[in-house]
Amino acid sequence: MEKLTNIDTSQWVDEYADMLYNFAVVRVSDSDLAKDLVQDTFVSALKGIDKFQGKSTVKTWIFSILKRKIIDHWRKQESRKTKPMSFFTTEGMMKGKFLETYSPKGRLSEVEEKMENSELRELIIECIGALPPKWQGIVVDKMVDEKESEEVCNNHDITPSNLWVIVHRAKLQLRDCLEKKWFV
Amino acid sequence: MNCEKITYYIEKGFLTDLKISEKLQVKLHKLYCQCCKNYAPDSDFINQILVLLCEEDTSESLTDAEKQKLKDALQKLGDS
Repeated sequence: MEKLTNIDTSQWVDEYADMLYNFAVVRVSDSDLAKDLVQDTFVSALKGIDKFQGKSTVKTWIFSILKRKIIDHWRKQESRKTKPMSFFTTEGMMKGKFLETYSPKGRLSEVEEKMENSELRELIIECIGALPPKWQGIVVDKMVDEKESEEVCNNHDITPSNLWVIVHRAKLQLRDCLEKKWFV
Repeated sequence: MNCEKITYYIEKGFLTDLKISEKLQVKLHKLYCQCCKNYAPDSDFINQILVLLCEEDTSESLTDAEKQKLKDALQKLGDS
């Protein structure tokens, strides 16, 4: 159990800032926003220090604050109004051009062999960032953090079939993005 | 348009059990469509690399100046 009588916030920054930043940047795909979230997290932690009772480690506690902030950010993005999508119709976003736009070549795994992990990481973050903002949180929750579908649906207020459709759409785009960025 | 539906079923199959009719459609379609045959391995690869992001990582770090700014902001807040 850790007790915080004299809080050394500089030490917080030295110890956790990079970790928090890396955690956030993967999930919001925007480095400036990630930096803001890190700052907000420290500020909330300092303001709420009285509520911290040492039941968990400081690290766990600070991370839980950041996670809440990320979910709030996603919710804000998801509540923005956009045109409803219609699927499987010629009026939908694919406009009947599915095969021209997305033709899987089955070569993606070659990417991994040729790429340093850190490069691959950056590329994926970039491609997630290129997805429609409304989908990003859902994709991260389900596919990066591998949460149960039920939890993801609750977090984002969607039905299971919404989830399947969004994952399908998002993966088509991710696949396309990775392929284009890699096989130029 | 059929490929769109088939790849959707393939994706759905990763997340939940497919109905028998859906499974059959996927199987049949893959017999003659190379694109959709290629889709599943690509998709599985994406699943694998996305999970990699979850690992704790400090490869990117904030600059010293950015950290100092954070420290100053917190210091000010703490003093007030």
